[in-house]
Amino acid sequence: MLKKKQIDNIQGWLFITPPLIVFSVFIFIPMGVAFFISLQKWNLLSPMKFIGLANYIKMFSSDHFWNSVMVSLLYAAGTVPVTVLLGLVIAIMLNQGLYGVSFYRIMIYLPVITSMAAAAIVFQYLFEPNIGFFNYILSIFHLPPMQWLNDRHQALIAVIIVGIWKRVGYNAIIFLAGLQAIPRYYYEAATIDGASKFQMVRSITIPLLSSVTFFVTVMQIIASLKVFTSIVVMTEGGPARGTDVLPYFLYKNAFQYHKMGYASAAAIFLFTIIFIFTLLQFKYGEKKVHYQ
Amino acid sequence: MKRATAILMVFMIFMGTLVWGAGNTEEGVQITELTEPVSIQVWYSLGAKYSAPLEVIIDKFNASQKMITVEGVYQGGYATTQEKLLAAYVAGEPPVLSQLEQSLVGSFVANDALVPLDSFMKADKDFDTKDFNKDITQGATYNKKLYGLPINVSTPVLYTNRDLFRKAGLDPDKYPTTWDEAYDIAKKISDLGSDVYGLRIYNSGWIMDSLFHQFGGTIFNKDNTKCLVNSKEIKNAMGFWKKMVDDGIAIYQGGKDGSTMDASGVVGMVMRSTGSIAWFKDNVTFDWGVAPFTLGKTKAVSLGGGNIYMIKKTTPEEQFAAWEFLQYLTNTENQIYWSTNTGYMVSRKSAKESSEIQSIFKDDPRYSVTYDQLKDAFARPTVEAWPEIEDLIQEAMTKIILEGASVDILDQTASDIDELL
Repeated sequence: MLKKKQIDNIQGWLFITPPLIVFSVFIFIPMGVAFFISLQKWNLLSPMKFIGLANYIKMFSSDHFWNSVMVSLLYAAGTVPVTVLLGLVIAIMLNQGLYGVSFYRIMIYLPVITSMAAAAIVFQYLFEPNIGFFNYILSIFHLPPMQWLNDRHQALIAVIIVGIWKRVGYNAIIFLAGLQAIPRYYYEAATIDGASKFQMVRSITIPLLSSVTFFVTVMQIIASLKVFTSIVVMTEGGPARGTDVLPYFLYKNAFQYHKMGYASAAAIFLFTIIFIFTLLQFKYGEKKVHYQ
Repeated sequence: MKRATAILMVFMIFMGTLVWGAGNTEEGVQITELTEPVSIQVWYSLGAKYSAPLEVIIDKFNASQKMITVEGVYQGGYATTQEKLLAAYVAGEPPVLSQLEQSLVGSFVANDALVPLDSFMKADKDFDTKDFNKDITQGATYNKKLYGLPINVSTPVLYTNRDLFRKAGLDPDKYPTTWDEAYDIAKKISDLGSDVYGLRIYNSGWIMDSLFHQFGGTIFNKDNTKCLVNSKEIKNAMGFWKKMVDDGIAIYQGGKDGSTMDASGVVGMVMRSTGSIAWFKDNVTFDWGVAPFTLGKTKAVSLGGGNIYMIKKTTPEEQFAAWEFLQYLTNTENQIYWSTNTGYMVSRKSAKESSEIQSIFKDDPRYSVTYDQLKDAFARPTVEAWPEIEDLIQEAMTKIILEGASVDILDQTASDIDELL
């Protein structure tokens, strides 16, 4: 007869088998295959050829690769602080219980569920230099028109703006959940002690939200490193590689240049960086809770 | 347990043979008639305006007989179609026919993924190969074998805004024949206002290739083993365009925004596909003309557009059906229909000489310009790494023209490209 513990074990395995199969087929196995391919020279049509770490060596000595790393970092540096701060501010405002607040919540969250491809096409028109909406706004303030997507440096600013628009609602909703987990009586006590609104935010809200902030920041960094759709639709990595983020770099090498091995090496690099951030989240995310 | 393993192994060997067998289908004519109905797909990258006449031809073909059903599938732009076709080919499930753009055939040729059409043409007594214009079919000929039949073949022509010509005091019928003349005309037009440009230039592969040829340069040496973009000729060509932009005479703008500029009437001259005649008719309200784009010392224009190719890893029945359809699609009558509805070229001499096409030339001479410059057309290089090479050259051009880089950065570009060859 099976012991109780063994039965528990079998039951446990049975429960996790379905997700395990799904994850294996769609994530773990492709990951392993990607690593395997990254050691090969392969153009899809001809047979694979094992070349060891040559793809990695080539990658780390390629200007185009480092340009992509740089662009990805700049993109992250442009989106992460703004989306996190703006998300927090919006969450605090949404948490005030104002009239019609659910309407605003929906409006703020709408970009998150909007298809990025569709939104990016609309943004392309908004960024158009001659008849676009953004240059119209600039002209109202008597600012010179920008070239937006036609200029190597301004194009990155444009996709960062789209990235912020897309993600700020997600962050705000997470922050809002965090805010509502903070007990009311802390604020009541502070009010009795005569604390100002700003003091309450600084001494109660922000410290108690630290774990949420950490989570949001890490998720935001990961999302920024994975940005892809807006780039494909709006700039195709251009002009002159100005928006050639890492995911687009590897996509282009894989599916336009058919350098599958090289692209897989870039994918493994990107995976490693994202994995490090995920580990950080696992290791420190839970410990930073400040509640009692 | 052992038995199960043995059965499994036999099964796997069997499957392996099947897969191996499928990958090694004999090429060319293997059957002479169909015994069962066949459905085939033809993939294309033609937008709505251009796919409509193609779908009409497909419907007519399906109605004309019972054995073959052709389904046309739109697969996105040229590059997307090529990517999808490659993926389908690797997966072993390609369509038997697909349109491919002139410069994107390289990887399929290099990896022997196309069925040469010669044996079909020989076996088919009704098919008159000589009726096809060699200047056009050269784009689908590799190692002296014909692999595809032309569908939307084009050359770039110079579209002129005749209203702007008149405003600038120029004779709209006197179009430029050299780059120096083009410079002078463009200068006069750009003097009309700060937001008016004499010429719109952009870095599309076939336009750059035409420009380089016109200045006497080529991107590769004869056998495509060395990149020559850092030659004196190509540096001069890029330098000339850069000067036009620096002098405020030309605007460097491609893509959708470029088309928007063309339509809004602020561009004096622009080189675009002859297939854009249909686009101009729909989108442009000013008086526009078409002139040859054979500027420069060497008269040269690149072949653009695409051909339809027969893909390997398909069954003899599918290939048989595909040939029947290809023949129908490119017969004289359908070529005339397709060409009059799009502006793309007919490739049959009999179609060009037909009364329909000749009367169009008479009514609207803008249609005939591309045929006049066809004798100067050259085929695009079929280099496997072309998509990446094109990106590298485009990038260099953008840096030179927009960011003030010296034309000498082409030395680096050439050595980067050499690594890919």
